[in-house]
Amino acid sequence: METESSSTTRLPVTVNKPTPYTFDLGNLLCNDANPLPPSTTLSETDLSAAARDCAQALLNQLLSTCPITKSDDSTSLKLSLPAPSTPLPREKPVPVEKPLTKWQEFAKKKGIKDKKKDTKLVFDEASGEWVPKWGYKGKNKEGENDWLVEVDEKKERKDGGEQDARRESREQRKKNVRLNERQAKKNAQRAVGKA
Amino acid sequence: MMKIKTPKKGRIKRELEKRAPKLVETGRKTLILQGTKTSGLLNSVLTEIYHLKKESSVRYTRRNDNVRPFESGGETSLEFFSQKTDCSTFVFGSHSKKRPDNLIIGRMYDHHIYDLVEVGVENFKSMKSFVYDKKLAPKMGSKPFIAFIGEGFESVEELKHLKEVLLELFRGEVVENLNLAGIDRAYVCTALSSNRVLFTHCALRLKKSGTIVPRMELVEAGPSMDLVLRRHRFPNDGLRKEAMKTAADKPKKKEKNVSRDAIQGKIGKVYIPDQQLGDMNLPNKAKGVKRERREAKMNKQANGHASKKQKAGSD
Repeated sequence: METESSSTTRLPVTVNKPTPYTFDLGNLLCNDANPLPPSTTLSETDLSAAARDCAQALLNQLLSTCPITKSDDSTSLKLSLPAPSTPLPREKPVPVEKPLTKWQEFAKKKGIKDKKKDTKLVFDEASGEWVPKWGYKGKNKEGENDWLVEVDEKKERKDGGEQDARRESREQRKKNVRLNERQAKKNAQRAVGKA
Repeated sequence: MMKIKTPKKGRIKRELEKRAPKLVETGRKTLILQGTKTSGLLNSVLTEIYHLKKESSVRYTRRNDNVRPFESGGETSLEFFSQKTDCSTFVFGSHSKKRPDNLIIGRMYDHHIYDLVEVGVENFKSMKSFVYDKKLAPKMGSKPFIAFIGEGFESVEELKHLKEVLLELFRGEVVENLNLAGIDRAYVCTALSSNRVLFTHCALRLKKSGTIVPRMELVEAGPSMDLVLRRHRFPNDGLRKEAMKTAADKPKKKEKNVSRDAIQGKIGKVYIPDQQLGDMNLPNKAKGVKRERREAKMNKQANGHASKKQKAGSD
């Protein structure tokens, strides 16, 4: 940096103070610990001069220590700032990692990888169409609305009584949903216990 | 039984994700509100602080009867507002005979009050009272220069605290890169005495100096006010310790098997462990693959004759 501009009209860009400034460039912060003149003689010009010096020193520091890059279309200049150095408190606690569910633990132990679930649709061979796996007109509701269902005689003989395959498949589906809910609840409780 | 609530809609899920605790935080939002009584002066102070921080603050304009941050029980409603708006700093204005034109600036940790600073506002000059070339007017949301002038900020405990709070309030977004053309404002805080701080907001004007470093000039853009220190509440030590944890505190995992070369760039070493055929998980264990069966068969082969002979003998 130049100490003094050669022409007399130009004002200096350097700042010299008895106590050097301290900076936090990440926050664009400048601390000036130099004592001000006593309050009886303190004037507005003193204050504005001190403020100006601070801003100038900060700019000098920025331009001398931070790497400057030109933007791609070379219309603007970019300063790379360091990370802020002033320690400030967090606003929220450090996030805790979610504990694994019972299944995830088991899968990890066994080395079972997640199945890639990229689409909700499955190919229905019977109709030759792509149908949703679940939900409205889902594949998992197959056979629940059939107008005619073959009676499984073997099963009927074993259970001893009438059976309805439509109702049974629906009940099984509902049971699975309830089971899943129960397991999710259990996992959540385990997570609370661990945290 | 505990009830599990999970967001059903994507919009809500995304909103909750935004509010969830992060390892590296993005920045605090500020809630600006007032108590039962305010003065005209305080109203304009609050509005102008809101103007300065418009991109990251929420302004509540109703009276709040039961917000008294320093009193026990007076923080409940404030903590609720913080939860609701996801704001973790607040500026609260109130006006009373005992404490005229009172401003409480505070920070929250996990939606609970972390620390508080109370200041009185004096000699307030509004933005409107400053006349300057409007071409210089700072743009909204630009990253400010912040200057703290005076030895008080280094020595007096209360001023140190005020400094930290003011820095947090006004520093703006934390950025890695800064456009040089975007440097257009400065906040200047001057410690006039051990309990009085002059706060001013200035526009920056860069003049040609003949060198690559421009000559800086400050043009006061307002608002400007004296902040007189009143009450204080420092964070308690336990909370402070917890709140000061950073991402850097976590020990960084050593990067193994990766080296860098000037010519080739990043080089990784890959070790392939011996294939353990016996321990491999097969998708479907056929009967013949099962260990017990195989072993049983081998045993049978080894002492097959003996057993057969025994059988034959018993018959």
